[in-house]
Amino acid sequence: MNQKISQDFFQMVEKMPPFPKSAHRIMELAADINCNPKDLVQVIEHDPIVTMKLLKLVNSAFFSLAHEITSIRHALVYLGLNTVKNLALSIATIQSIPHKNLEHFNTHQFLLHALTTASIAQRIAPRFDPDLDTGDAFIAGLLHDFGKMVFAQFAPLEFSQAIELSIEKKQSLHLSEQAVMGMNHAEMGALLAEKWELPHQLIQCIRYHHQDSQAPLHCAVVVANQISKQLKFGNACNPVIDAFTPHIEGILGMNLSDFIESLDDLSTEASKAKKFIDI
Amino acid sequence: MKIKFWGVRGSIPTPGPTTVRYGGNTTCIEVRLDDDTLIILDAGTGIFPLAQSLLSDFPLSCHILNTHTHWDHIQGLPFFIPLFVADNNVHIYGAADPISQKGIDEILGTQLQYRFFPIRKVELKANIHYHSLTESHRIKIADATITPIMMNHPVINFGYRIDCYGKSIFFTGDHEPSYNIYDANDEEYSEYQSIMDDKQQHLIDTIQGVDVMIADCSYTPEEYPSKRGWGHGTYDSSIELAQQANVGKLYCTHHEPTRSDQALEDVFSQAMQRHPRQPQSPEYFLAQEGLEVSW
Repeated sequence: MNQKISQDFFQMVEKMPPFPKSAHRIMELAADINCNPKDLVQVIEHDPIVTMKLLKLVNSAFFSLAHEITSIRHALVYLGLNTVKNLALSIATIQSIPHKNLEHFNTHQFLLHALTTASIAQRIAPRFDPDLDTGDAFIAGLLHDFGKMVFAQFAPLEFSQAIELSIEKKQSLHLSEQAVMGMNHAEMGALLAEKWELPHQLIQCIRYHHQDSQAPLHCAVVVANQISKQLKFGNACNPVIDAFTPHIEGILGMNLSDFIESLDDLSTEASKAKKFIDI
Repeated sequence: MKIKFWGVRGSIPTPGPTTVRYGGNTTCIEVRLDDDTLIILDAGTGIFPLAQSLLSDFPLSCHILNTHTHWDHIQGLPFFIPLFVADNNVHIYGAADPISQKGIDEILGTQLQYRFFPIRKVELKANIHYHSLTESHRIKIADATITPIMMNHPVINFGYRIDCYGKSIFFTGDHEPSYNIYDANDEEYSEYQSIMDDKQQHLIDTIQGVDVMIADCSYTPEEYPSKRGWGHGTYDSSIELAQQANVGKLYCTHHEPTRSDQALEDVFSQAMQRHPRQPQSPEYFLAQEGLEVSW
């Protein structure tokens, strides 16, 4: 797998199309001269591919902005509505190979996992640091498993083997990926994020989301990821749910199931995400 | 430093009896450094009469800073006579386009296509040099330092600060202050506001203390709500920015194309009544075609 990460590979990834529903919605919004900026931000924020590509572009040397852009709202303030709208449109209209649904990897279920992790991370972020930008937590949650999409698209056979190995051995997917491909999705996503010059804290969050860390943003994503899996909001093919680390349990003062109990209305996160996917 | 306004109208040229005094040409401002280096801010139709004034200086060297590539800021470029004459050196600076991923070097090629203009780019005899700029990189033109800063318009628009020999000027190009896209009771409101505030502070810091600011004052506050999102400011938004940045003099430009000379003076006078000058306030002026300012 390491040998695959060549210039050609990065170029292939750049051609990954957005999810059909968000592409359709972006085209609809772009055709409306009075489109509501809130709607545009929402549709971009709900598609990991459009989000990642937009962040990549606005943080690239091409713009060399004086400030690092960490979220779609941030991009809107710096570049203006029309430029963001047209950037999104140029991403949405990429004609490329369709997303692959593998036997064990369903893109719809994957998106549901990414979106619920994002919205839960956003909601619980202040528990780890009251000053944490909740928009950054949303994006980190949305993109934490981006590497899986890349595997599904460009190494479907090996990725399927890794998923099967995880199910069989009841071991975390990133370990099976490592065994089968010599690389796991966290590293894959981080390499892309690095190559695309995404904000540093986002790269770190993607790379280490299966490891322990003290960083508040990282903690929010790790916890949101376990909650999403525990409540079976979507499915990102990892059968293992990790218990809280002592650090996280120390901050929250309870374990995973008690924490889930303490949060009201978590099912609304799933229904909101489903509603969005089914637009 | 010296500036001369050759075009002060926004959007489209407006010749006719009602615009004789302030002028109907679109944006073009001549800037002369103390060593006579020529910098031209935008190439609206005002660049044509400017070009006529340069004929005796050939061969010349000049620097055109393009704020953005909307028509009213580039329309005069194919008629900029120095481009047609050998041994002139014309430098064109501006932002690259993120959508097409092309640099400022496509500006003339796009304008001078066979179907739209009788002369092609390859037939231009001057030495033309293109410089695609990015926000965080200052450049030098002769002894001047140019600082581009991203403004808010429906296309990438750079405002330019020019500093030379202790004198300074800032031109916004076209600019609408950002507005919060969320309602006050939306949970995203305060986060968006704080991003906007950071950007505004960056702008104020960049402009801080310039002698002269030339700013997009297209609308009155009454007109603005129906034009929100079009990418232009009001007299009031520019006055506020000039005050916050401790500017010496503010020249209001990009006059709304349907505004007659009389209407222009009326709306400006009303703006002055809303913002009576305090001892520390900037001085406020209407930009007028032919007006020269030296200091």
